[in-house]
Amino acid sequence: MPDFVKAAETGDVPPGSVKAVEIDGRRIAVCNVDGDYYAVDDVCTHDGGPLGSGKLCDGQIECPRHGARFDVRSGRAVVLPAVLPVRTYAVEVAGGDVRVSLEGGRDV
Amino acid sequence: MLDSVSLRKRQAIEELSARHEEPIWLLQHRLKAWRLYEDILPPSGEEEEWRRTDRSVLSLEGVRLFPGAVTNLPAPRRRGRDGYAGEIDQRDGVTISRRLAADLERQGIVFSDLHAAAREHPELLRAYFMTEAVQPISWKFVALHAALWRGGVLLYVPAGAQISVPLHAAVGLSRSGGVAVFPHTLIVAEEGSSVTLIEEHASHDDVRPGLSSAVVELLVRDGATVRYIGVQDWGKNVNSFSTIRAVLGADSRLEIGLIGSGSRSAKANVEAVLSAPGASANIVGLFLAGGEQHMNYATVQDHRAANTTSDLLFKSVLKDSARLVWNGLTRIRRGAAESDANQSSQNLLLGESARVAQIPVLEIEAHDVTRCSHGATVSSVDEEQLYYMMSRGLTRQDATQAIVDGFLRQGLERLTPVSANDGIGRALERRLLAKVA
Amino acid sequence: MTDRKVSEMAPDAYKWGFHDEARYLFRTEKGLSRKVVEEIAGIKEEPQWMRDMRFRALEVFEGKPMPSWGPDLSAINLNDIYYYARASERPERDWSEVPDYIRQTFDRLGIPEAERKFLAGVGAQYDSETVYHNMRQELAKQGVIFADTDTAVREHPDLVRRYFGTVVPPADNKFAALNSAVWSGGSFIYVPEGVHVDIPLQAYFRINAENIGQFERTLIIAEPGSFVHYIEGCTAPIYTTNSLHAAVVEVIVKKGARVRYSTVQNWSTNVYNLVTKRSVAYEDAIVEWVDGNLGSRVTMKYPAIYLMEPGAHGEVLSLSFAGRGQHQDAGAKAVHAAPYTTSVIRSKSVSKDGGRASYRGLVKVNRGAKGIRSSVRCDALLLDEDSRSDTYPTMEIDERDSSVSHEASVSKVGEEQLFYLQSRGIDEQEATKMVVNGFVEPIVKELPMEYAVELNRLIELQLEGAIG
Repeated sequence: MPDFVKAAETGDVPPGSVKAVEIDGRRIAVCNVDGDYYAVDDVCTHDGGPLGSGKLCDGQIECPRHGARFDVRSGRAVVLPAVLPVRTYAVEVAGGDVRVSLEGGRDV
Repeated sequence: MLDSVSLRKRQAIEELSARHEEPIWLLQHRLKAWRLYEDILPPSGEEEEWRRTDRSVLSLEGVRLFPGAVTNLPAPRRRGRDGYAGEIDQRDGVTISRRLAADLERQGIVFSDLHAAAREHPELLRAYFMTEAVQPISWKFVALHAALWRGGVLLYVPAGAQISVPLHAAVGLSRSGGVAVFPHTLIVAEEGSSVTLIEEHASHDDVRPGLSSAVVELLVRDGATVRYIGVQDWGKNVNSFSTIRAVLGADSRLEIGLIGSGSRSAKANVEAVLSAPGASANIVGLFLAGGEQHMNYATVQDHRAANTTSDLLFKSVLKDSARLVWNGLTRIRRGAAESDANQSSQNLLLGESARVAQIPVLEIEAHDVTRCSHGATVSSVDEEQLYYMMSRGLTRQDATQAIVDGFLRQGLERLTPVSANDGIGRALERRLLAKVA
Repeated sequence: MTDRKVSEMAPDAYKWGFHDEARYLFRTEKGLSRKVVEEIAGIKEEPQWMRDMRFRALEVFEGKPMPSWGPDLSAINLNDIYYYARASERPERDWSEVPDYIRQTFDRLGIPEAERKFLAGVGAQYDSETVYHNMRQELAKQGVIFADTDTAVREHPDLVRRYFGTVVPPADNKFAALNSAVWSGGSFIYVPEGVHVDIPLQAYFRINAENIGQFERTLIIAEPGSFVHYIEGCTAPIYTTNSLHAAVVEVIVKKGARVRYSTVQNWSTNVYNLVTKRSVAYEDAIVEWVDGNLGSRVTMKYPAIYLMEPGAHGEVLSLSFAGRGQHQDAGAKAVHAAPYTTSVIRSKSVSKDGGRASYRGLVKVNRGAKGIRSSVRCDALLLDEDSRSDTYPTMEIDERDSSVSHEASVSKVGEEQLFYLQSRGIDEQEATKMVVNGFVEPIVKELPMEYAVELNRLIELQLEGAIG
């Protein structure tokens, strides 16, 4: 039974936005695509640096350093220079909280 | 304006210096170096050399820089069997035993730790100790070294003296762990002389972290020959740093053999400066890493004069999740006509998660080069070769071992046989190759 | 609105010794600002998504610092540049209207009449518009689109939008951001599934009224099983008062398709040529970059291939010539992101009269990219005491089941070679030429013949010191 931990409050992550949080020493980016919440590693697989808080564009998060983009739903790298996908995590929303499960984080 | 922490450190350095009855100039050298250490910024991680290395290896947490007087030294081991012309055995910077063949003493060869040298041959230290080859300002951990070194080895060879049998130095960290050690080796080979030193750094594994920041200075004067073999086999808890720099005179010859398999992380900067015509340098490195070991090598072949030759061969075998980063620079400066330089890095990846990054750089400003080339390869064990051997009855493991042996042996062969006495060469080989299993 | 003379702009005597003036119909004000970007987007009547991208790119450009590595770019004054200019209203219609310097170049290079016509367009008279028009009609029958990028944005917006900026996003580097903000011109090529384009498509045929060539944006899409060869540039020296060229080229090669992209660059020696060229190759696709760098004061260009799926293969053949005052910083990048992919990089450079040629490259093998093979060979020839050559290759290998090799060598023309040739009655200059030709031949022969012929001639001229 995966262990869900509170990552953020729904109010913190309005539609189209990303919030970077730290859970258990891991940096996670919580994203809101049209009301649906997703979570990915806050790490750009191109250079290992953070993706950071920012705006989502068409369900994609863009790395500020070189413009790589990842689809936050599947983790897939959709724009170079990233080629490796970013890890995704299961998310559930309960009572105004966005909760993320770190176990079984899917290495796409 | 010194704060109380700094003040305490200064006092500790003064104590250290006093304990060894050092002359004032040496104490001042230490204090100056300590100030440098405090001022020099640590690497930011943006430097090409540091980009792929976790800077946590620079952490001094849990490592005592000022361990105080050392007690509980092991008894000297009985030596003389290996056939070396001289031996020094040190633990935690303290010399446990020292021996030099009588005829070498007579020829004026000096082979002692630096404390003894400061007492008996201060003029040698003043002239050569961290003046020409490696200076405290090199980088932060060399400044630290220059402030806190203990023990060390001075090998001074007067002009014309030719020593055909190697000398040996063993530098160890005690079991008590959590200590920093700063081995320093200074070899000065005057004109036309020749000498070989084999140095081994070792310690047992320990839970507590350890640190070694070693410096090797090689001054090879006109027509001289120096062979330096350094074997690094620190325990898995030690972060090892080495700064090795050689300055070569006209028609001199340098051979460096580095064999590394220990430590948690090992960073070595190796530089050969061919500063006068006819100088030649042959550098061979053989490295084995496994587990999560991280190795970072930065080498420089600096051709500053005509008719100089350099050849560098680094071979590594990486198991498990080990990682090797190598930045190699060959520089042929203007006027270094008819230089011949080669740089070669060969890596055998055995582990699924093993990684290697190689950045061999050539900067050529002299057009009249005889040859300047480099090569880098990465490969894994050839399945066909394995299959062939297995079909002859070898187990997969033995076959792999044989391939790795052969791979490393090719590197060993590039070094002039250590001595006429086979015993030394074979012992080294055995020790190295045993690590692969 | 006329410019200063060539002799004033390039006091170090641009090698062809031109003395012409460029005439502009329209130019934005000097320097880069939101206003300039607005004007550009307005003139082109671009859709909102392209305008938005330009503005975002401008912000990124302003936020990024100049590169801290590579050649010296300190002489570039970003505020002293016109970021958009329109040279003439209508494309040239006959031979007499081809700019003088181009016609003169053909003369100097001794290009015979027939070849001249071939290069300038088939027919008794130079009529590029007709040639281009005819070519487009032929291609259109096959479903191939070959247009300048501005036209493509207007006529095929969905197609362009799907791929534009996916291979080189604006934030990739400072000059990609610049290009993304002010791009104009460049080629758009779309080849449908299974179509083989038999004749090489040449940039020169694509006449663009706004073609100063400064910030070209090229996008090539090859659908599965297709083939096209695109040629850009010209051995004839291109004089331009515009000293900064920042182009971006994105090439997408899908399953089983093949794209060859050949460039020969011979910009005048006042130009900083900073280009981002990148391709993605999918399953069993083949990408070939043939890159010739002769001109410019500084070139920074590293054609890249991302091998995304098994069976993909990439090749880069790079040739650089660095003469007095030049720094060619060129190379290649191969990223193996999938197993059983292969890459071959071959670089040759010649440095003379203090010129500096540097090879800068990257081979990266991601974990899991098993069974890949990569081979890099860089050779540099130094012709005299003052010249310089550097190699800065990086190999990052995270997968043990891979075979990667890299070799480089730097040498001078061997005395024995010279002696041998001289002993056969060939003078030193002639002998040097022969050696250099032999040295560059493996790459030159990969170029289309007319380029190869001209390139050889050009190199000879350079060696003679007849120019500059």
